[in-house]
Amino acid sequence: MADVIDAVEKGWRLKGEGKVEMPAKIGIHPRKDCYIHAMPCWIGGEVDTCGLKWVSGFPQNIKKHMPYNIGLFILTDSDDGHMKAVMDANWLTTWRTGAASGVIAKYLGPEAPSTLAIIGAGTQGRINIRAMMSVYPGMKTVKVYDVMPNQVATLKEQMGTLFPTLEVVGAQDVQSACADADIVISCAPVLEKPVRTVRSEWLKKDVLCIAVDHDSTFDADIMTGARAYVVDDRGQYAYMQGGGVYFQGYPSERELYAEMSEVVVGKKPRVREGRRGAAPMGIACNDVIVGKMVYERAMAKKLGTWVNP
Amino acid sequence: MKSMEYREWLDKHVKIGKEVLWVTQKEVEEMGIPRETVFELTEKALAYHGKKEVEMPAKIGIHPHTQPNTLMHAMPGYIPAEYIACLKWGGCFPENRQKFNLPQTSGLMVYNDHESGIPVAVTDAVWITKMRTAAVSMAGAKYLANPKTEVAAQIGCGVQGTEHVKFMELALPHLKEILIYDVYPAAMDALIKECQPSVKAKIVKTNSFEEVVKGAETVFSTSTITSSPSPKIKDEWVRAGQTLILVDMHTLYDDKTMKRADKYLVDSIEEHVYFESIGYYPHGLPEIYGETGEVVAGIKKGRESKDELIVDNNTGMSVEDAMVVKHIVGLALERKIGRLLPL
Repeated sequence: MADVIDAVEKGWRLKGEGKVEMPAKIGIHPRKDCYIHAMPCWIGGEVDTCGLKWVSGFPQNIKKHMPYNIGLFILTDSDDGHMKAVMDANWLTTWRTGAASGVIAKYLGPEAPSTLAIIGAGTQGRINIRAMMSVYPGMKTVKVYDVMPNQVATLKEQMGTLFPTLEVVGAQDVQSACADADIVISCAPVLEKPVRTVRSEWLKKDVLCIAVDHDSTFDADIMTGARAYVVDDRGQYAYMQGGGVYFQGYPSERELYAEMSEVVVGKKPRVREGRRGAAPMGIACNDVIVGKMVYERAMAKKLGTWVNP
Repeated sequence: MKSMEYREWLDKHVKIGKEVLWVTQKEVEEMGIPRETVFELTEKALAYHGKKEVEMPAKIGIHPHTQPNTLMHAMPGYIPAEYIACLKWGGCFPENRQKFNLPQTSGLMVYNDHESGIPVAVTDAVWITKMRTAAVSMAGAKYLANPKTEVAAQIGCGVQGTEHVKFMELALPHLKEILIYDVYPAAMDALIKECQPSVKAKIVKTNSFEEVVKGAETVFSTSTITSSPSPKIKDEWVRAGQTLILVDMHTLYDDKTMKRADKYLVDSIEEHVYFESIGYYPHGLPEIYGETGEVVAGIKKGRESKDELIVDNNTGMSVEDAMVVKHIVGLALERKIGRLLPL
């Protein structure tokens, strides 16, 4: 996880230095509430790699025992445009999303938090704990809330094995999960009509709120009243908010404190006190840099399959 | 075949969610798909687009600075009536031949199950792009050119120019002569050697832009797109009744010619307005009469008199790739071409 966090941070640094070309993602919608998104990006500088993720989200798949998200990532050579590898995109999506929270915590988190709250105990809830433990190995307690108690039980078991010193507490409700938390991370399913369950008055004065589920969990005033509210890409945020579905009532693109790349390169100072909010939507820049890492490791270990013409 | 029946048929050959079919460029080429088939599929794609029965966001892309004028485009497309959801990721790096002895173009298609979004196949996109690009020009010619055209012109004799010449008689069956021009004479000789054996019309070299344009009724141009136009064809060389089919945007023509056309069409208004916004049309787009697909679908009239000057400017759309890749995936599965890889 530490390596993935470093990679995402490096991608954001190059983005902040203007060395990344990343158009806002586009997609198609073959079924109700579903999408397949195309996310291309070129990262220049010392990384110098192109890539594209083509990833779907079909909520009805779960009922048919098929994955909600599935996709492929294509790594492309920056020198000649030829394709270097086609790989699974799920692993890198999961890990780069967790790692993005890790980088946000590095720059906007408290010095030494003791309590973490996780709302939503699925894949993202678990990977976000791993990211926080990578940045804050001394974290004492994580309070976890999920509408499905069995999700919490699975999380407890897995995190207990990975982090023996971490106390994992299943919370009765969202309020008690958030009450003493220094960092609150929401990982609920993304909904077109969000049922926002976290109220600003429940939160500590000094708190970092990371919304991994767009605007599905945090009340809008948590972000509008934050000392600093950041996203991972201004263009993508403006495009999504302008679509009229997501981030309604949240700060506008012009009201952002920064996008993360600006904080990473020091154009905007770190903020470590008061309420800080972040809504990383997940961007192609993170996929490409982590995809490159996966490719290099697969080559070193001779994994994967060569297709001969 | 109904949607779920199609899915079941796919699943019988490729275990959806467990496997993905991989088809290489060589395998696609060796399928021997006739040009008539590609032409038919492309016309169908254009008609779906004309009838607004597709979902196709304007393509987005990246442009690495490793060479001048590079592009890599992400092109998703969805055609509900055909159960096709797919993406093309492809590009052009113009200096590849000199620098690496590699082709300029590269690309892959990802073909998805439209019921679950799961990738079912990954295929080469280079052959598809080459063929459907020529087929789009021919669809333009079929509906917009004088159907009795006896002399056509091909400007640019590279891969696209060669493919255009091979396709031309499908759209213009009365052709007697195809005039060609390229700034590199060797490219013209190579085109003739490659095409003449299978083309009935006589392929004739010319010596200048002026000669090639003045000599023909229907003019196809496939030169390299530059980031802003660098006109080579003077307005006075273009006359009433001609049809200009552009694969290279306004690169070669005078803005005056584009704006005085009686009918000016593009394949996708959304796409060309986007190109205008990023500087490809510094003089502004002409007034657009309609989209190529609208004419193919019969929603808008094509050529109405022999004196009209008509310009048709197509840069390619994902729905064209979509129709062709479905055909390729179908053939590969029927004939057991390609290989199944774990997803």
